[in-house]
Amino acid sequence: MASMLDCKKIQAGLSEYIDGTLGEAERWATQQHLGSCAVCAQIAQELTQTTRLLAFLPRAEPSESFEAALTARLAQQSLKPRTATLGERFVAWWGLPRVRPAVASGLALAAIVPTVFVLTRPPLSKGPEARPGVAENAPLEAALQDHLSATTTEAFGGSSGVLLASARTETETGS
Amino acid sequence: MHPDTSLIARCQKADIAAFNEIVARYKGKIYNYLYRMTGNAEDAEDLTQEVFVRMYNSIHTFRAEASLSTWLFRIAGNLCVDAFRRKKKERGLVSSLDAPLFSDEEDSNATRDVPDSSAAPEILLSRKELGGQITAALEKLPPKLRSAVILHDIEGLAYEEIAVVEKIPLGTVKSRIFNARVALRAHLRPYLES
Repeated sequence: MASMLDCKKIQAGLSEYIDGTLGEAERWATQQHLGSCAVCAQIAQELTQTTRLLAFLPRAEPSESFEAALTARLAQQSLKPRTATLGERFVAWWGLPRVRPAVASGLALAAIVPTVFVLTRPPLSKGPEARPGVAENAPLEAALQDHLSATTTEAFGGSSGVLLASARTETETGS
Repeated sequence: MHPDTSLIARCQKADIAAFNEIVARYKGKIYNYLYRMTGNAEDAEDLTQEVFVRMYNSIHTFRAEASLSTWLFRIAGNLCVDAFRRKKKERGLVSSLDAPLFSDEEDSNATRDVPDSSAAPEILLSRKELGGQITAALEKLPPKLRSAVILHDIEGLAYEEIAVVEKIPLGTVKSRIFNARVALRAHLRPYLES
């Protein structure tokens, strides 16, 4: 006797069985099941009849004035089908099967070529070692050295206050 | 090469004769689908015209990924959904067995024709009457199930084509057709041979 699980599975495929679209193995299994299950066989028969009834319906046809009405409707908007805008043409072009891979390859190439060029070019010759900024600071360093030595020698000479005052003045004026 | 291919190419170059040929070739199929979907000749005719107007306006965007037939059914299906939404809004979301069908004001008194199971089948089985019962049973289906079963069992589209028209997976197409047939079977049981 067929189990409920079998019936459920078979009934789910009955529509395809009726249409003849089931695979060979499933079709055979369904046939076997319908031979042994009266309930599923009854459902299959009724579904087949239902499908045949739909074919019984007469085909409806549009009225004889259909074309004339359609022509009038189209005449209201324009005489010719609208041509594609630039954007629509781009969308249509972008949708072509070979376009996207080609664009992706182009972009990849555009990224790789400059990178390879930069990585493989010969190194640049060294520039002048002495920077102008350092040369300009040289007197300042010499002055600082003088100041430090003067501070050390005059620390006990009572002139440190004068030095501090002059240092503050330099800081405030930004020199 | 599909016979539609050269027609489409000509139509894309604004050839009116090609457009008329496409209309002549597909108006019957699209109209019948829309008539079965809406249950109303006037609405079906209006929507069928709109399908070809849309095609006329956007033929330049058509690419041969789908067949012209599939493309036209898709436009028709989308228009149908819009029309149902519009009608539903106009009717204030009321839907019952006594509610009028998808119809205009003048025939809004028409109600759903429920099969009378008490009548003897031999009396009801005149061709016209049975057609009316099948139509009524179709109209009781939810639009998604109705569309799938009309496209398959009446218009003869394959499962794969319906998947493209409805933009749904193949498995969903199969289950919709199965569910539609089961529901129709329940409505039409009095007319099925025992």
